[in-house]
Amino acid sequence: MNFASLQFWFILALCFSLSRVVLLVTRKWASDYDEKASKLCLFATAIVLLASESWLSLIAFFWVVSFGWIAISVERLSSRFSSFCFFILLLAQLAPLIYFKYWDFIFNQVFQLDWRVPSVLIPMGLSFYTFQTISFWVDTQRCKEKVPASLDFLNFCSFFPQIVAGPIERREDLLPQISRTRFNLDFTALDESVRWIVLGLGYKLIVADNLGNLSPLLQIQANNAFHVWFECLVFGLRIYFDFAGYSFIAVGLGLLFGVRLTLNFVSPYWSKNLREFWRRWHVSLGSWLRDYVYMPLGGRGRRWIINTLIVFVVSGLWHGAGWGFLIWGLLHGAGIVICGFGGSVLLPDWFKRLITFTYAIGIWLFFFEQNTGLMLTKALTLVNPVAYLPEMAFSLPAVFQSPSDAVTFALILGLALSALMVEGLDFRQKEEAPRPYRFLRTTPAILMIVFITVWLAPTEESSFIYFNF
Amino acid sequence: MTTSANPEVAFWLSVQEARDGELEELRKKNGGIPVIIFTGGSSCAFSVRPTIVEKETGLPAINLGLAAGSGSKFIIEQARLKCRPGDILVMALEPHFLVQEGRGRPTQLGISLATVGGDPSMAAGGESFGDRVSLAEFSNFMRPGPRYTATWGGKAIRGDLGYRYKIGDLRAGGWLESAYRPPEVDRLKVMQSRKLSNEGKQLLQNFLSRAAKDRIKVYYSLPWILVDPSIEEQMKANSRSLIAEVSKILPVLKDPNFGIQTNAGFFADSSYHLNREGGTIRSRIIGRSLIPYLSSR
Repeated sequence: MNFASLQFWFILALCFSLSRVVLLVTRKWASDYDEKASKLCLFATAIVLLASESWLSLIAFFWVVSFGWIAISVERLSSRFSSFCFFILLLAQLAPLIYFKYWDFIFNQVFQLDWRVPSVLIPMGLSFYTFQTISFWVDTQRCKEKVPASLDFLNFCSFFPQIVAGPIERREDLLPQISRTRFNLDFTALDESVRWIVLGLGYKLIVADNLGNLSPLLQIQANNAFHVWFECLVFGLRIYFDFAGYSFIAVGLGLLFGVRLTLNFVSPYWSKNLREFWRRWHVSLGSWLRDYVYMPLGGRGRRWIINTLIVFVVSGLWHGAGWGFLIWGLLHGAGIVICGFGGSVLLPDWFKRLITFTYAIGIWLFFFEQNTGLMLTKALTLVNPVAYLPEMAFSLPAVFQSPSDAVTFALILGLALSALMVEGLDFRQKEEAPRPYRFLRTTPAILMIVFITVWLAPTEESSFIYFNF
Repeated sequence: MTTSANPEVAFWLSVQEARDGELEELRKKNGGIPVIIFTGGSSCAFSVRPTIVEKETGLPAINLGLAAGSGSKFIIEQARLKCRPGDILVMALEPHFLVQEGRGRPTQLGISLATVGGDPSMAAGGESFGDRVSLAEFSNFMRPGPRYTATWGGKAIRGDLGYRYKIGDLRAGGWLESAYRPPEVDRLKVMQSRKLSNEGKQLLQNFLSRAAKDRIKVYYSLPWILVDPSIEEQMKANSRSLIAEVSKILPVLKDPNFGIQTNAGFFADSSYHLNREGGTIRSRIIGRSLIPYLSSR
């Protein structure tokens, strides 16, 4: 569900309005069922929104959630929970992910078996709710939590602000809120909610979508380091503003209905090292991998280097089924390992931030470049001193097809970098728990974002990048 | 507010106004005889010389071509509305309108021109197509957007706020002759598919049906494009197959090179805009290919 589309808001408003009618009738004629009715309305809204994307997304969702429910119920019915049962149920929940996302990579690229399946779009949000459902099951079993009411479980899995692109929520954080919610507007949180939604739409429409429309126009010379860095910078900004924008809207929507979701991004490009980066970038995925992959492997024990690399290979492959994603994950893992040996190196904070930013931006190359040959060429370019000769820098303008493209890029990149600068003001706070993005959520900033969004949002609609995960 | 300040919109509005005046004069001067009206994107506006067509055919002619960015339906509908029964309408639409899906929706420039012209629904094709411009599209496209804002800002910094083309570029008959010359005209180097799309087919059929009710005879003429010699033969083959498909729906005016050119000497400031010499040659070819149809009327 694309939060930046009119269709989403129209369907949400329609479902919410219909739910008011249903609840009005229920309260009048069957007040005992008021709680159940409100939860059903919330679930129905999620299903309608998911179905409006595609029937395949709906079918895949029900498959995963059904097996998730069976997994929890089996545990309830039998105390003898064998490894075999665990493996089968895990495989069942992962089956859609394996089929739609990893089949070609595993069986045709890695094992060269030439087992083809029909090529279809990955059901929206598959990676997100699969991980969320699995973590619910593992937490229920591990912590011996009681099995929730089925409707609460369904709403946990399908809560519409976060179902298609996270955050990946935990049972302990989301379930209590979900079980309390009555699908009413929470007017006490309206102010905060609107600010997050406006900020998210601004990030998405002003920067991410415009960069998305402009990027295909770039003429990149693969042997020119400045061209390649520029391409990496554009992508790095695009994916951040896209994903963070979505996450802000998700937080705002959650607050609107009385649910506080995890803030998935906390100014990651201001990190002083890669460890901090992964505490700020896609926060919920990082903590999921830590708790369900890293710790079970042994965490920071004897084999912490191997464990770290495994975690980040999984992270890379979670994002996409391809060698580029694997390399991207591995490079992040290697960076984390190096940070582990770094100790408290005495370097100025600005330098650490610059190095971390440069590294994170540079390795996006492996994330977005689908052509393996080009990927390797560009990677070699980044480490080739000859590719940094002055004449290479002077030919940077050749990246643009026309002066109009150059000026448009300059405008959007200028706004993006300005937003990042304002984010950086958060780090000058003396408080222990600074409010993230506080300056961008002040009233003057919000009003300016509204104005700029109306003025500069692209005329074509664009989906969120992370929907493909 | 921003629409009125848009130099591109202002330019095309002034061109339309001048052409309307010229068409009125043409009709007054020639009594009730049919007029040949050309329409298409800028490959028509900057290429077809009506005075040359007039010499070849003996019929008055006028060029009502606009910018391709106005959208295919707006381009042809605005021309249809200026036709009278018996007139001849030559559609010189750029091939991408006929081969690519999704090209039929209203565009930002089309909505701006249609709105200032008094009827926003024209951007969706008006009566010929029965489509409407939705409120969402209207609200969306009446904003300047990033490209216009950035381009306007860049030009303001350079001290040149106008559009590249000026009303002084307008010549007799409504064709535009650009004085701007780049160091080298870009050639098309990458092969373009030229297979008629379902949407392209619908566009032609619906328009033809409406034009038939108005007793307007419609023909198609493939625009000229400057290509790299390495793809010349394949592009000609692609164009031949497009013409074969289009000719099943409406008559296509003959062109010995199927719109594919490698001589940059015929082109002005882009691979679709002809200079005086190129425009003369093309217009002569169009005029001569129209004659058989005029004799059979």
